[in-house]
Amino acid sequence: MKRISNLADCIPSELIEEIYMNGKEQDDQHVYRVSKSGIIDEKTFWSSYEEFQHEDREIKGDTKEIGLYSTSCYLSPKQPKKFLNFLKKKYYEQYPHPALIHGNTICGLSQLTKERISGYKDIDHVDWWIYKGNFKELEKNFKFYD
Amino acid sequence: MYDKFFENIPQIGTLYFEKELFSFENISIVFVCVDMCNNRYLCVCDDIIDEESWIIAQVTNKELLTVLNDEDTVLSVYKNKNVIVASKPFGRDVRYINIAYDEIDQADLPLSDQYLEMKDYLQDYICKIGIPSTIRIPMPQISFDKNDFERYIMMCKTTHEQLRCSYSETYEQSFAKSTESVSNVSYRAKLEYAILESEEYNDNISILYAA
Repeated sequence: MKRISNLADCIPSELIEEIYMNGKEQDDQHVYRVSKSGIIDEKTFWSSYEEFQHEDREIKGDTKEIGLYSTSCYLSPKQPKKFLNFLKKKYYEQYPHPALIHGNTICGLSQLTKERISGYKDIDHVDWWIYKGNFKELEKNFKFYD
Repeated sequence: MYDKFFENIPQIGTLYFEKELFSFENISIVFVCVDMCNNRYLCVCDDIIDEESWIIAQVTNKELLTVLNDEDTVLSVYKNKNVIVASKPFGRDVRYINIAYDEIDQADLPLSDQYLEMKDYLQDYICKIGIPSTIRIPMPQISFDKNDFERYIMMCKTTHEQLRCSYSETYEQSFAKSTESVSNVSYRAKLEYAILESEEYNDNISILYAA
């Protein structure tokens, strides 16, 4: 029987089952994520695929890999901080600008990427597939990280 | 052959993506490209918000190893060099500017001089660039100057675009001491054959001047 999915509509139907097989609901898992705009809103939680689409960028990565359709986050602030350090200084001269935010992987399924992809370099990278229509909850849960 | 990453860079041509050193959310942030002559270039993506942009500089293997081994910061290899600033507004072509690193507006440079901190995951690559493959070419009974030889190598590159080679420092020093010109056509043919035979060595070919 075909599963009724709560996941984002942009995810190819043939990948839905794989996401449910890999992801788990882990509401108490604490993660860090970069907000490129420095604002916590719906766009902050777009999946990598949605970001590529909205930013009109060429999709990099395997379109059949479920991680592309997840919202990337990290168990520690180290990697996101490193990324922010490579961005131009000018982005930090006025608010709002790229910021590190943190909260829990509520309202969706998540998986440590290395559990699915052996040898994955970012050992604390988490794929998070957020259920549709929960962004208000996420906005309340996530805070800026100093 | 690696995938093309940058094309039509003035005075450089095409750069091919060799190795990702640090990525974030499927975006290559720090990576290495090579040109047709197998020279390496360190590339840092410093913008994916307003547009895509990168700073690019040719690096020696020695410089690259200091970054890979966290002996120095990523930006350290750019200092006192001419760098290429590549920028690509979303949906448009890439533009390239060649500029001295010190002349770049500080606001357009990365926030922090960050160490790479990825050496635990890059050991294979560190070994690869730390131990160059070498090809020894029998030395003929003549000597020739460095400029003449380099012209010859350029001719080979033009004829055989797939050829990618680089010179070891030892080799350069050997030729700097030589004074006579190449005149032996059969040696040229032999050398060309040796270089073409070497194409099986895809990475970091050094041609050594064997006595």
